[in-house]
Amino acid sequence: MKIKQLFTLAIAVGISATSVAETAYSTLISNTAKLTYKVNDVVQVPDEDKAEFVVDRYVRFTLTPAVTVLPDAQKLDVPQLITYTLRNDSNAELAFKFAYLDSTNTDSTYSPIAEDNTPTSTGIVYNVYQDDAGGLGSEITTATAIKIAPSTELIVHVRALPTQAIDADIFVHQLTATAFDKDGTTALINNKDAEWTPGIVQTVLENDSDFRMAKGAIKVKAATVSIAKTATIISNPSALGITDPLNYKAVPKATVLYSIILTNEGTEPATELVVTDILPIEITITDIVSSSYTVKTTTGLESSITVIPKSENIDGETRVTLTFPGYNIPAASKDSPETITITFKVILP
Amino acid sequence: MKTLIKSLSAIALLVSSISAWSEVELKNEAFKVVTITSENGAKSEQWQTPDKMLPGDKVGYQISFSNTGKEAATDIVIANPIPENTVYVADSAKGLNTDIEFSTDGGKTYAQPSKLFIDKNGERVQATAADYTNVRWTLNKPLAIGADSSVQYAVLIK
Repeated sequence: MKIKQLFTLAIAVGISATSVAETAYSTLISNTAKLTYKVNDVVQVPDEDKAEFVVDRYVRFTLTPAVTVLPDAQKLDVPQLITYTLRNDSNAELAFKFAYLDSTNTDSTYSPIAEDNTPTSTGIVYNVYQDDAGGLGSEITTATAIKIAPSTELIVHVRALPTQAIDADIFVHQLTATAFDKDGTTALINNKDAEWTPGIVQTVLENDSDFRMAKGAIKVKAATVSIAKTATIISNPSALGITDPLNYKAVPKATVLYSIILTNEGTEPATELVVTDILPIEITITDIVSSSYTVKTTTGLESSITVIPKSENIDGETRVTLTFPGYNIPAASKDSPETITITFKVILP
Repeated sequence: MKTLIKSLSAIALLVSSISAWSEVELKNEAFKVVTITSENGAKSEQWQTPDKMLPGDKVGYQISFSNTGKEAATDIVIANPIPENTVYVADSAKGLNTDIEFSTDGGKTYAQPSKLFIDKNGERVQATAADYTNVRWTLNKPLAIGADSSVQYAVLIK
């Protein structure tokens, strides 16, 4: 019997701006007042005057960490991702550089992922670090800056979790984003004390800090699935005089009830579970009582599915297989795991 | 050709001279309108020199005018398009001895707020401050020799 588990990997996607775009910085706001009048009932030449200023740059951004992560069971050799969301709510395009510190894994350092230092084709996912699994934990800053337009979000990935991250593990992490001018060379500072000069754009940070830090603990969420199979002889017509089912024997024409029990003890639902049951070599398709199979959940809900038995060549032998596709098991509740039980009957040849 | 050039020069000089003799002078100034909260919690607005103008900020315009001529000025009208990238602040237009009207069609027509309507989704609805494109003050009395006055209004930077 084999089990294939397909986890739903939580890869966030970029979200376009939902707020109305603000007036971009450097925009000239020009106001012209015009006065007309008469003297001795004669129309005079109008007088006009302009009042102008430019809109300054408002730097406001947020960096939000994922609270939980899902390991990707299909890529156990790849460090798992922690996802952050960086949102630029400024009225200007900004460039950002990142620094990462993982205080959980002090035996590891993080290096910029060179090949991923450019946006993806969607322009929204940015991989900044990966654990190189060596040396002491240290904070490191990306060398290049990535630009983000106003009112847009960037998904930032840090490949930080160990490959063996399991359900309920907790990792302490810290990502810092620093805003730079769009050339990526000059970190923006709050020049609130600068003398105002009309026409010269100033930078105003939301507060006196030039960075945002996302710091916190991430809990790993995963489905932890196990499988078990039992066989119970439930009738033995040839055994006259035997009334206790415990004494039934696996003899020809005996009916066997097989039960396949899928259990999820993890904190995340398991989805799209595919179960393939390879029956004993002696069993043929005609021995299977019915093509209808009963599925029972923890809460007692029962349903019936139709599965067509197949004869397959497995390791040079013809075997009957049953494939039960697409089960979803909810996350374990506080007190008990979630289970799904599949049952079917076979009359022994 | 020489005659034509001479004539054009003369016209230019004449226009320049008329401008120089303007009898009512206009001055337009922008301010940043800041809300100040006193110790007792009372709030008041201060018009300050514009500094760090940002989206969402309130901008006050004060348009001053004075009669520097030797005759009283009459029929004074001050017209002011609402600047692009801003929206008019309701009830902010003020001016002593003026009738204040607004336009929603770029200054082609003016009316008082209660008489301003726009078409919205095929329906005729009352215009709101956000729909105003121009503001206009009409002085209802002459401006005497040496007298000065001012009008004002405010906008929000989008």
